[in-house]
Amino acid sequence: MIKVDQLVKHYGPHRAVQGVSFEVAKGEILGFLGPNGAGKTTTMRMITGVLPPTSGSVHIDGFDVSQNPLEVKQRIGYLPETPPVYLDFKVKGYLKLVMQLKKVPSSLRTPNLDWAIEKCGLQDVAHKLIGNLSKGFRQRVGLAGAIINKPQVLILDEPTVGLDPKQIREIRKMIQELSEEHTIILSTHILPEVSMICDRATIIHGGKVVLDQRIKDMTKDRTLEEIFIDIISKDQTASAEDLKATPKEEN
Amino acid sequence: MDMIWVMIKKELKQYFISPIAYVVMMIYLTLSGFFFFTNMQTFSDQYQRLKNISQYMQDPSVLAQFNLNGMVIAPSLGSMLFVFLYILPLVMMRSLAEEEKQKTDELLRTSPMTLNQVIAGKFLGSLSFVLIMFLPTLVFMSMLFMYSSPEWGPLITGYVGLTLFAGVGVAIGLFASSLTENQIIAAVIAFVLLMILLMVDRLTMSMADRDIITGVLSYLSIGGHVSNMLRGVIDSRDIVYFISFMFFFLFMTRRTMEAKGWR
Repeated sequence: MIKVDQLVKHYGPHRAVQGVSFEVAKGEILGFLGPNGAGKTTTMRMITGVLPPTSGSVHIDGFDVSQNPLEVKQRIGYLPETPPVYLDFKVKGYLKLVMQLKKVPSSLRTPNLDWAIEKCGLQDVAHKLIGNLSKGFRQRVGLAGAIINKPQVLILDEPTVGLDPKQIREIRKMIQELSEEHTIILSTHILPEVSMICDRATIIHGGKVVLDQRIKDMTKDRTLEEIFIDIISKDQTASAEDLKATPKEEN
Repeated sequence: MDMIWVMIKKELKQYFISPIAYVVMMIYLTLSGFFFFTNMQTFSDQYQRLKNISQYMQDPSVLAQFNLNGMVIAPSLGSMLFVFLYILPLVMMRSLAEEEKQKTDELLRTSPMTLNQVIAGKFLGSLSFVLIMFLPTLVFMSMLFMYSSPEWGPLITGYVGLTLFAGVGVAIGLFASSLTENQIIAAVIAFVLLMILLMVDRLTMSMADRDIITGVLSYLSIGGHVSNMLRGVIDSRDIVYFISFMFFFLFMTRRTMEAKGWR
């Protein structure tokens, strides 16, 4: 469903993403992990077509993001780090706007709106201004906006940040329910969350994929957290050694 | 076209759900009304004086050159244009800067529409707002028709000219707003660009002998093109000028947005 091939992104001399490749099958939930600054958000932005990659390609449902951006954009729902909500809109007004922007057919608008509001628990705030809502509610409005066109592919950048424990549990349950029909990429720092709901975990570090494994195959002897810390710290000592080694060679 | 229409409706809604629209409209209409009023007052003072003179000299031709079109309508339209110079940067500064600052550009970027549709929607949405803002000034003009009979033609070309000027101003404002996520900087850039376009022919005053440069500079200046239309002259060169400046700044907006990764 999602095929990411040798994705590279340079910001001037800074190499944010250096050749990331992975595939996600239909109905799968991929946990997309990595320390801060590893290139997670940059990769997700390239998958959704927000950022053009320096090189490499992304295919969603067979469509190339850079060749057929409109086809791809109609098939994805994206919740960025900061929910893209208009603070001076009311919740319902905003969601209606999102449906128009996402070209949801008018016959589906009322059922989709009710469905998304119910799924994200927004019934009580539907007529409130988004600017007056708390961070958690804004996050939920953003999530409702991402799922409202029932996209085949859902890309969520840290969807549970700023939510209270009860909401986190609800959102997790919702993501699991959605995976029956949708393919989901989920980025998060909460590792138990990944073990609980994802089918596979991909860890990127320093702009490269360092682990890509099914959850089933990995949690036998070690937890995901142990694996994660292990990989990250091993890599850091390796790069520290690199730094030490370089001046010696010059001498 | 549907997507452009969705964007236009979104832009208009954003103007009218915030207090900014009403404040800006109030300022615009108050200032325009003020200038209209002073023009009317000057007209009636002068008219009284000339009427006395013509009676005294028993020569009605003194009054013949004296009309509402030249004395009230054209100067009032001119002052409305002057108010535009200050108001348009304020109307436009939010447009793209705020989307970027609030990260709502990610919603537009992941929606199935092309960059041209985004720009066209933004441009036409803001231009519609500007039209809604300045068409009520027709109420002032209609008062003239209640008490007198000025010519229609120059009034219509004047409004067309103001609309075209607003189009250039909106395109410049959109461009300025695409450059930065800081609204104040966007407003200042738009104001300076508009000011330069209005004033560039002043440079020619001290170099009357250099024909080519004088010609180019006075062609580039908005002032001459607009004053033709305010006087009631429609010249295709003026229309080409406005349309080409509009497209130039919309094209520059596209390039800036492309550089920021919009596709």
